[in-house]
Amino acid sequence: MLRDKAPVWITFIVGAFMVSKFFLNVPQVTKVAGELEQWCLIIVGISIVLGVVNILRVNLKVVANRGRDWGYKLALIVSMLGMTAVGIVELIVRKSIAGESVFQYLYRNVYTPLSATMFSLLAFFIASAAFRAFRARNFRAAVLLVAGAIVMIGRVPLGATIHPILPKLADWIMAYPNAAGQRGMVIGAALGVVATGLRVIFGIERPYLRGN
Amino acid sequence: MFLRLPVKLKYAPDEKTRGVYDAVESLEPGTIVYISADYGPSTRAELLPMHEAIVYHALKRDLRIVSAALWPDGPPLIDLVFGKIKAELAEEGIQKEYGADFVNLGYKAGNDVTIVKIGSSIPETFPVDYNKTPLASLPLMQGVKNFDQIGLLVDISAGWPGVREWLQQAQQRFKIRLVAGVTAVMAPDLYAFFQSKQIEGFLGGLAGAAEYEYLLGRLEGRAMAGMNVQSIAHFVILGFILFGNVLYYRQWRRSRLER
Amino acid sequence: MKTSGRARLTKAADALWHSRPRLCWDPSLGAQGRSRGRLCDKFTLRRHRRGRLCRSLILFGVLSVFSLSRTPSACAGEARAQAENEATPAAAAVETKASFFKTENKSVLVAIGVFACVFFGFLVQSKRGKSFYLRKIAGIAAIEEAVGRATEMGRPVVYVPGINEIEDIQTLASMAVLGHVSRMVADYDSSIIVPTRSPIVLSVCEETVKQSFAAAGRPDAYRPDNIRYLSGEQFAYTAGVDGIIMRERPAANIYLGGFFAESLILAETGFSSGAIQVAGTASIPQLPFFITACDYTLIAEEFYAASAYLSRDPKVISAIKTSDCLKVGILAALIVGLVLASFPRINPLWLAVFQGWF
Repeated sequence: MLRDKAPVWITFIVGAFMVSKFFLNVPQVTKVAGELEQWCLIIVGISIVLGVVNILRVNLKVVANRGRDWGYKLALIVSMLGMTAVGIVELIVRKSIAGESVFQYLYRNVYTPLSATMFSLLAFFIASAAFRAFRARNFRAAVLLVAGAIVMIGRVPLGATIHPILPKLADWIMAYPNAAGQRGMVIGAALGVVATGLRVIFGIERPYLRGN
Repeated sequence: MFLRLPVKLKYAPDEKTRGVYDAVESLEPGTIVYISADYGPSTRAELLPMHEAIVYHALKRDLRIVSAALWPDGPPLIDLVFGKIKAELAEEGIQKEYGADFVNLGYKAGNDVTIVKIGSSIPETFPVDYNKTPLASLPLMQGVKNFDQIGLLVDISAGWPGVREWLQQAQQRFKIRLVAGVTAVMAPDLYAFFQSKQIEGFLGGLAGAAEYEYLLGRLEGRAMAGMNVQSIAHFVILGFILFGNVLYYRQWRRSRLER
Repeated sequence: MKTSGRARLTKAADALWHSRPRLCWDPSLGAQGRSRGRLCDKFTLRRHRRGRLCRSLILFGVLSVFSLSRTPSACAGEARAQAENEATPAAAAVETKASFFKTENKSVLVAIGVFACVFFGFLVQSKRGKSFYLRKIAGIAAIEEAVGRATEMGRPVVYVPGINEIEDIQTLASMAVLGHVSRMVADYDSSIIVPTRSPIVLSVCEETVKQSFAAAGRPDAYRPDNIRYLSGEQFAYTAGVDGIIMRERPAANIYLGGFFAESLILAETGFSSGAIQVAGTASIPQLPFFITACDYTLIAEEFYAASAYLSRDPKVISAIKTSDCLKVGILAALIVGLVLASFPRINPLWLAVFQGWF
């Protein structure tokens, strides 16, 4: 019974306290809230250990049993442990190669290009999604198509070169219909956030607790 | 190949880009600008040019820059930008020194919480800079306690934490002037805040960066060079869309005739 | 005969009035209300409802105690501020009295207060057996269809709970839905893979799925290796999820939570694998990508309402109805503001007061 009740009460007390911090100017409240926020950061920092343990547990099992796609899992473990080892060793020994540490070299020349490559896949996916999605099946789809085309042309300098009205039209579409739609959705989403937040604080919904 | 095409493009900087430009122009020399580099290598292509342009503009106007990041990937990018702009300004005969004209405070975990802490006390949040130098020994940081000493806040953001969090926790709480640089996908989100004057201006994607470089007169800038390619890419995607519609129309017409 | 809007409003106000908690000395309660020393309600309070009432009272009590009492250090701080101002004549003219309550946030407090009151009103009504109408949302109904499809095809369901941390409301809402989805998966004897970006979200997902399988009577079917932490870095996580989709070939992909630039990459990869896809997020810039590439999309508040739809819990439905009511209030405020701003000559003071309130 206590195992179910205690987390709900802790959530309520801490949640109410943090909400009150938003409204009150009491130094003690601010100080305690600051401490709680620090605790949160420390827990998040320590939790990385959980993640590492999970990666090793799931992937080492497959590698040991030579399961399906064990090669990819071995590559994952080697990269993770390798980067960690390089970082720790450099922290202790503080050696560098040609003015740049090995960790920074790996960061700039391995991690950065890989990250940028994944992001640039978006260009191809956008092209394929646009090909599928922008079909003028009815009047509303046609309006969407025309608006999208105007914004796409107007947002690049080539549009301003073709005709000066195009950037103005694009800005008008972004500043008025788009902003109006965004505002409506933001208000709706914010209400949803308040509703969900109050449900969690009052213990009506307990997603953090086992199986609700 | 497309980067070298001598296509003469016209630029028409809009209100939101001018807002960023005017915000930096309105600051007196010696004013401190806080730049938060909340992006990583994945969005470097889109956000690095605008980061460089803003740092160039600020340093050229003798403003002083305090820079930090809420993303762990941010500090190396800050160093990259400072190094490049320092070299560029040196070629123009303007000398800028680390510690006196710009400082990289590094990364701090905590997201929204860190923003509030920075607003309350910068030295407590960052006791040392990215190179582990105590803040007290940096000439720029003498007398810099919190947002009261900061003339303008610039957030270069690719996601979360980003502009929304700076708006909620810094601009609303401490009433500091805020401008932003975001990816093109995030730009539609900010029009509402721009219209309500919570943000004085923002740069949306590479196009926004190119407009800013145009206002600065940096015609050889990275963003302006990229606009050739981006313009053609937009037209290629438009071509795909039209092609898709032509095929759809033909299919529709065929099915109608068969009926 | 159609009930008029006014009659409906009167009926709702009436119901709210009659469901108010009454104090013991309220004569209308009669013998029931004469016990001493406790607050009585017309209805029998069960333990969990009493607990909730206690929690609400504590919350408002804390706020009122803080607003009424003064702490010594705050008084000292105020005295210091006053002394400093007296030393500087220019500043002395400006009132620097530290107030305990941040008046700039008063509109938020009022909104939360109204929200809480309306919410408890609907909650009491639902406890009295009143059922509330919720419009059908295709995306939520499609979740069960997707799980059924996965069972027929003998392929797993991939559930992506977003890339935000556990403190994000979208992630909490996603965890609530995960409980229901994993219960469905257990009932249908299928399998579920949950890749996560945060270790804390990993722990919560593990517990949620495990308990859902246990509640469905299938604790043996739970596979801890299916709940995986991939990476803390956004695109490394995306690459990992794409790899899972391409290799495992799931029959259903469910993306519920906070997403950023990786949304289109995930959705397009899932589309190319042939899976049925249901997405839901309150990250508005990513919605167009999900709408384009997914079969069903839950937009912003529909995503927050998903757990209410799936559980049909009257408490949760009350929160949905409350936010609908508040939306009407906000709409009314928008119209009032629009009229006052468009015709400032009506009364400029009203416009200033209205703007000052917000």
